[in-house]
Amino acid sequence: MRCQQASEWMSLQLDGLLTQAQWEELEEHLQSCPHCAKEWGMMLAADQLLQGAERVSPPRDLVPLVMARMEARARRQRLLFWGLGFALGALLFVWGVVFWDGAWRVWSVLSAWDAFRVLDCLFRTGVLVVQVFVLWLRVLFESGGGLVLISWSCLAAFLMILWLYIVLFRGYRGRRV
Amino acid sequence: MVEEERWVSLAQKGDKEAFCQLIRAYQAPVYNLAYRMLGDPDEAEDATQETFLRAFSRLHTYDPGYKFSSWILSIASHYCLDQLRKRKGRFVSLEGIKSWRWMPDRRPQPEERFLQHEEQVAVRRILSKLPPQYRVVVILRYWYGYSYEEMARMLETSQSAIKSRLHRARKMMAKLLQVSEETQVSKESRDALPASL
Repeated sequence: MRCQQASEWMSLQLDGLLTQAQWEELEEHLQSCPHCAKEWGMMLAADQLLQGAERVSPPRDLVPLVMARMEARARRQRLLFWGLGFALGALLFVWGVVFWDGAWRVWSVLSAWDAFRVLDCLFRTGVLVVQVFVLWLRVLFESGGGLVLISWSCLAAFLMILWLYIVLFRGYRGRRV
Repeated sequence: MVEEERWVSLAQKGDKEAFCQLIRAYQAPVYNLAYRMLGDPDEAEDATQETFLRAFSRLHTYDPGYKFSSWILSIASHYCLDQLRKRKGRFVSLEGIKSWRWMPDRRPQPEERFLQHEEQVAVRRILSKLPPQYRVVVILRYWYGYSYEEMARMLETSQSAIKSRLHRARKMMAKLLQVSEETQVSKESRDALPASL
């Protein structure tokens, strides 16, 4: 038996996973190898030391502390949810007022034909916007500048995710309740 | 156990009182694990709180076919390993660790108490010298008696990896004890020298 295998078997023996035949083989090796015998003695000593180690309990009841932190986290998440919701709602409201009010004013002074032309114009504008977007994508991927732009976009996205992570999961930590 | 299943089921439905019962039942084992892993009472308390917060937010992922104790200790183990990974790089000496709340006071104690204290210090020193991945298997094996299979499931690794880590940890501990014993012997012989002269 090699010393490496003997060492592995010592660990298994401490967990009661060696068969009787294997244990006898290990014992035989231990009698002939002082180095392994010494290691076995030390492993046994460490095993006994850990077997006798006490369990420690928290110095106080942690329930109120955990519940307080849980409340703080829920409050923070609620605040973030309603804050973002309010900001988005306000943005939509402003956009709606500006856009629809303007559109209604134009619509009310136009004839049916003019209205059709306006719709046609809007459609062409939409097509143009899509073409510009496609062109922008091509530029992005075909030139060095695009790579720079992608890098900046990634950095911005990363910072945004990091900010969200800090606010949602880590913001309350470090503040002991 | 039936009571525990009821608490888990109620907590999964958002019942905070039931979750409080679970905290009361498991705060000691979770704290013990965190304390043995991190070696500091304040950090252990913080880790225990964080473990329960994480458990509450992930209760919907808990599989009732799995022991709740293993599930919660698995969360605690991963959290402590993360903390130690973050701590890596800044060296924390044993002397730098704050005094231990559970340690006996400095007044003269009976011999038995003194020996117990010495053993606790030795356990703490040995654990602090082990790499986190080895330390966690030693703690789960010796303080909680988990099998290789359970530990592999808890730490999301293979049984052979657990077997290997435990073996290496034991080899390291044996080596540490040997060095400590040799140092003790040489110190005693050094102390004895002036008296004999």
